[in-house]
Amino acid sequence: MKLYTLIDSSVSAADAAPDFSLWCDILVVGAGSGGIFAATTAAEEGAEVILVENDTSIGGMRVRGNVMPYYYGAPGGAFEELDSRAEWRDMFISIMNQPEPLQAKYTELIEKSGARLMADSAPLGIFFEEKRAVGIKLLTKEGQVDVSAKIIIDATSDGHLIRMCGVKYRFGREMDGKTAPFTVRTQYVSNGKYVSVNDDSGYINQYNEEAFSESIIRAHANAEKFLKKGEFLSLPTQAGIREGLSFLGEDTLRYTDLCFGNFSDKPMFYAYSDLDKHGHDRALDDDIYQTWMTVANLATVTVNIPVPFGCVIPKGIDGLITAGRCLSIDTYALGAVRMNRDMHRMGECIGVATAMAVKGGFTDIREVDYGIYSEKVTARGCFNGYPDRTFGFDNNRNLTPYKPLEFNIDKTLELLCTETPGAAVWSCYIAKDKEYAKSKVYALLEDSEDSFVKYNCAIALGVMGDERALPYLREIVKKRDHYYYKDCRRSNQHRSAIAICLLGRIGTKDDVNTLSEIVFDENEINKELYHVLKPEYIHHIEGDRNFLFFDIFTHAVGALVRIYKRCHLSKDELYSHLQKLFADEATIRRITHTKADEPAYIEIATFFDSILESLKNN
Amino acid sequence: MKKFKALIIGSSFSAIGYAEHNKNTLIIEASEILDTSFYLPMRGFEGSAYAPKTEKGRELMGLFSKLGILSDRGMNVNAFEIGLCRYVERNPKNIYLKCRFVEAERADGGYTVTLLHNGGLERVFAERIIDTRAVSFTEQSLAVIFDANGEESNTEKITRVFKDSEQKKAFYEGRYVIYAKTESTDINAAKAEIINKWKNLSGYRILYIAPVFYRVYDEYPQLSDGAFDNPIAAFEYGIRLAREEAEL
Repeated sequence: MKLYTLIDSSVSAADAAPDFSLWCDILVVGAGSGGIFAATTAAEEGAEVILVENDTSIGGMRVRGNVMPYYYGAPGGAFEELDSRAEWRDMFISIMNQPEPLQAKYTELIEKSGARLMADSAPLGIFFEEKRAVGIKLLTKEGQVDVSAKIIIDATSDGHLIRMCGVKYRFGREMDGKTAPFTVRTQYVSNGKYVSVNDDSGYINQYNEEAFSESIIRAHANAEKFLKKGEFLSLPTQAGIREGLSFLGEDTLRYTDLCFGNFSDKPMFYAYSDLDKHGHDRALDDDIYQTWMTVANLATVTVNIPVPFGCVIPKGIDGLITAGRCLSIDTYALGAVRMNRDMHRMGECIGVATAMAVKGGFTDIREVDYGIYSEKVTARGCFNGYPDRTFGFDNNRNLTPYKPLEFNIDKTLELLCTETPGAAVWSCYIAKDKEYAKSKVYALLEDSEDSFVKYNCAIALGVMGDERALPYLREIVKKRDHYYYKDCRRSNQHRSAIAICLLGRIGTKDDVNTLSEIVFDENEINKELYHVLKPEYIHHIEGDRNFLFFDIFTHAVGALVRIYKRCHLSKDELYSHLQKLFADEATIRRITHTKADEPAYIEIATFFDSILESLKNN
Repeated sequence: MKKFKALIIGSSFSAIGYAEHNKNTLIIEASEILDTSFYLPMRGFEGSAYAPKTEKGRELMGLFSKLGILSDRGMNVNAFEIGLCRYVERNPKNIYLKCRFVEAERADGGYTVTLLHNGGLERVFAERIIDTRAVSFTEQSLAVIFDANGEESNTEKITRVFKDSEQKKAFYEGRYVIYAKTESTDINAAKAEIINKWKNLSGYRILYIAPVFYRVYDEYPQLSDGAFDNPIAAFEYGIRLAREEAEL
């Protein structure tokens, strides 16, 4: 037997003779959104369960992180009953925003289920017999304790157990390793109303102790801005981290699977959301994601996502699975699969699956009888909250009806004549027969006398790599067109940004001057495009930067880099110009007036570093 | 292996004051909060006035005053964490949050200490270990900040439900804090207990329940802040302690 630990960030496997003093069927590490439901459900299904929590308080992101309101995720499952809390409504200033009542409900749930809670306990290492996890060494208030388990569930959200056993993993975006920004959800009372607000606080690396601590301290310091807004109440005791590592699993969910509809036919459960992205540096995203979010303007399209069992099983490891946002998944897909409702539902599904596995005498949850499994989780309501949905616009805030979307060039071509052409653009992008799609779109472009329709067609042609789009794209950019599309309920894309993006893909050296003007001319910021914000824009505008300029500027930089690389122009020359530009404080000051330690400034500075790095490397 | 003159287990104002004078100090804290003595348990709304005697003490006091955290109205304990983090951001220290002490072995000139944090296990060397964690307490309560619906809070009404529990004003107008005694010593169960009892206090609405207990000890460990009711006093005590040690 070996004890696997992480020492100085490296995996160590030492011979071990554990002294097990506690035994259980299922050991869940992490009493948060996923872990609580995994533990209590497994216990309800007849398993002996121990639930371990590092902090003294349970509840994870919703309770300790104060992230009470939901953003998408599907309904259904045990969490719904806990959410009502109606009987306590008059005792709290804001029953749905304050975490304490929910925490009390979780406490009752755990007690009722029979799962044993061990709070203030942290895992030191995992015991393995060959490739099978058989227990963990815990650090508790009373000292070190060895716990034996048939199945161990890593519900730490950040894969702390996964890291200990040497499973391959990656962290963040391909280009620069950055993950979604974290939030510090802050509470105060203003004019008698309870306010709970996301304070997006920049990047964080929760696997590096110094970087982590520095990010938290800075974020807590920056909460100073809330002191004048009302009667300050609290900061969260847990950072609102949105993304952790993605490990190599028996299966991996990729956002390309979501966008192209390559779905598993025997999923563990269904998650539901749009591809929620909190950073604003869209110019650094990869092509396919950028096409979805920027070019086709589909940022708020929701997807009903079948999540395979294999995404929670580290490759080649037996007896250890995850529950929560630590999955085998890429950074973009995670944006759609990490919503709190879905974490609750995933936990509940995993609770059922692991209890079935233990009863059946095996540890691989993929071996459960799928018919019985899906019956159980369907009966519980946690399997698929929206069986009739795949892609669509779900404006749950305004309670407008759900609008399904289809991606088929023949059915969506007419959208190119409207203010919501996104589905048509994406249909062109994924069309199997590109020549057919190009011919249809070009015919529409030629037939129309309306420049609006011509521009839409040019975007659809551009996304297919058709150079006939170029004259129109150039026209859009040269006139700094400030039209924005209307597909989404928020974060709609400017036509200029879309055109610049596409120039980056199919443009030539003839486009360098126009793009360079945007990037290098210090008077560019004065153009009307960056100061016209129509009320119906419905853009999620930050108060800390000129978002419009940042968007266009960064896309223009990105486009220049692409053109230089593709057309074999002097990358060294571009590098040198950009380096000088980025080193000039005035460049950042055109975009933001925040201080150097604030998230907007850091995001912009990080963008600069990432671009220079990309030019240096290839 | 990183080497430190001192390792302080548990963050506090006095720990940070100590590290202000003794720069080669590592502070480790199991939670994600720096102020674990005032802000986390929500104690100190009626702390006493204090005139700082050191330059750094005056800097910290000046910052807290500028932010409105310390004023004629009293001490806005809810905002202490913000002020302390702003101070530390400007005067960086070696601080590990979400970090636990695992064990220590004697080594030549000090100790090899094993820590558990986000990066896994790490061993550091420290000449000295100062453990601010107290063990046995004589009293325990849980702070509940509530709104009395525009009225002066009725002490009798409160203490009928929460016997032997102390009530104070909590900085903002119409806001009070009660340090409620609970049967349970588990924080999760204690909160559930308070919420269930609160139905007997109609008209009073809970704003916040502290995430940790407020505990009173016969004897407070060094640098634990517990003996102080003013954060600047605690901070300067830390500076003084480090200075005295350096002079020995």
